[in-house]
Amino acid sequence: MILEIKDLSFSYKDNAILENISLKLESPCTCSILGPNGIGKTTFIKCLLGLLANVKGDIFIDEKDVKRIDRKKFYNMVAYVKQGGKENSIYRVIDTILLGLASSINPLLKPKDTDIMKAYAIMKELNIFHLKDKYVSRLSGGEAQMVFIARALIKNPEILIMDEPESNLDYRNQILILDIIKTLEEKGKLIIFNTHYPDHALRYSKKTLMLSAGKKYLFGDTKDIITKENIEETFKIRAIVGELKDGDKVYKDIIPLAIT
Amino acid sequence: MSSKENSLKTNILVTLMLVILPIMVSIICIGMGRVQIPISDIIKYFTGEEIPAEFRITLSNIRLPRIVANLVVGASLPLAGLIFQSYFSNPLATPDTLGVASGSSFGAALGIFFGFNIFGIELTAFAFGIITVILTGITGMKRDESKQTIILAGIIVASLFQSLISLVKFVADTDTVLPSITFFLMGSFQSIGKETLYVSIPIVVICILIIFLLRWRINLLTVDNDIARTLGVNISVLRMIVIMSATIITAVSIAMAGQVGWVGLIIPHFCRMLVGENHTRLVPFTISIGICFMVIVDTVSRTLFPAEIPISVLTSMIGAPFFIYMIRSREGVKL
Repeated sequence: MILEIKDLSFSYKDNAILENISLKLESPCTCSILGPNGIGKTTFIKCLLGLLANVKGDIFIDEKDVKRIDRKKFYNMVAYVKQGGKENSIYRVIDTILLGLASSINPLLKPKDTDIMKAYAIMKELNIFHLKDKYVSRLSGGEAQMVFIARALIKNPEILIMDEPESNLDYRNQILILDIIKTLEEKGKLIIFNTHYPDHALRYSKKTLMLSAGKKYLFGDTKDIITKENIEETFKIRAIVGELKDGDKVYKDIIPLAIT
Repeated sequence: MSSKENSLKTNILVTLMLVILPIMVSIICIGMGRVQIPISDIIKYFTGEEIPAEFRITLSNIRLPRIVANLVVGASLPLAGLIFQSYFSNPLATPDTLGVASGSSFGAALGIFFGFNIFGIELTAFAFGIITVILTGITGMKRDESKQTIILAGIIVASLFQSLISLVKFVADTDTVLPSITFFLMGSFQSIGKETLYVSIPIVVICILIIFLLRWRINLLTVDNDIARTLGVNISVLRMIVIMSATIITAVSIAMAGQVGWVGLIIPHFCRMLVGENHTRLVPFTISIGICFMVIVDTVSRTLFPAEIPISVLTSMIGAPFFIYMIRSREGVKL
């Protein structure tokens, strides 16, 4: 699946937020979006998801203009997970996940047994099956985030868009979520996620979109984008990008040194 | 798979209970009152057998219309409360707190003022019910995501309509119109005419059926708006259908029996404590238990003392302590 964005711009009340962003992603791939607070990362994601009105520019999925794709069909291909801790559910885990199938369930009927089986399968995949009858409101932040990911994945979307999926989570849960992203990529999906952590982008994404002040942006292979120079330019932070070795494997990492 | 069969059996059992309980309660309560009618005669009446004329007349002219009105209001107000709570994601949202009850009362009073028939009164009650929902919604939902705002807006809108009711009463003819408005506003199941029921029942049945059929989907109302859209659901249409239905049943109930307080708040919360948050189960439970509650309370109100106790007095006497218990309980009030 190919996602292509051409000259995407968005303004809020005469205030330009995004200007002429163009990029092309082909699954399987993970693309991270980096940038300081308030630069428009979430806005960009919402543009992709078709949640905002008056978005200029074009978005194509497999060369088909998304404006021409039926909404139901579009949202069967594209799923969304909100920022960790920003969403809540009053229902039990199983009922919350089943809501992910809403568009394919007859409005006047309940989920069928096959739907419940699908929910069980996705829960087992994400190792949250034991939580199925618990209330989401009683879960830890990491567990709740897994439930919302399960709800997004139950319709088996081709593209998964996540807004800071690892925010507000502890260290272990962050890695848990990022590992899921990696697994999904291995399964052939296209994942786009916002993050505040350049090291996560380095480790987990092939491509990176970096938004910086003055409506500038950089897009390309992560290793070309997350460099000492670009980090300094975008985040006003002096950092070093280096390599760590674990046996034969070499990992890239980034360490911030000082604010410039 | 035996556990699955078991759960299927419990499901059927629960469903049967939900249907049989209101019927049983109604049959028992219909016999109670100044004229005591034995259950055997009640069953005979419904199967068309001969019973003493006194019983037959009491049943068909007084008790039956009243019990049917109990059923209509007992199903409507709690269900409307449940829907409002989910719609506004607010545990305190009810026809009363959102001002819908006051708006509808004003509409009904206006209808009486202009001498409309019962259908006209229900229509004006509904029209102002909807206006209130919109007013409260606009006032309370704007930008602010805090849950108190919507209730605050409800109180403001309610007091606006209360003063409009006073205005109608002020200009109404003191000999003819004013007494009937005042009597109506007190709220009562006394003297509900058959024609009122004929008009109201089809409307209420249709609206409740809509909500009942959509009950799984109603779960989506409490889901974050952006997320609901990305689930591929036309959430605004769903919201519109559901809120209209809830407002219509509120308006019809109020046009019929006036403001019956508290039931819209406590019955849904009581059902939540029983079966949890999933509307698939919550909707049938709310309807069934709401009916039982209303039938029993109204029977108490007309049999406890020689003179009838106003229904709202009883519902608040039960509702207020129960609500305090709920707030203070370990679970608290969720949503």
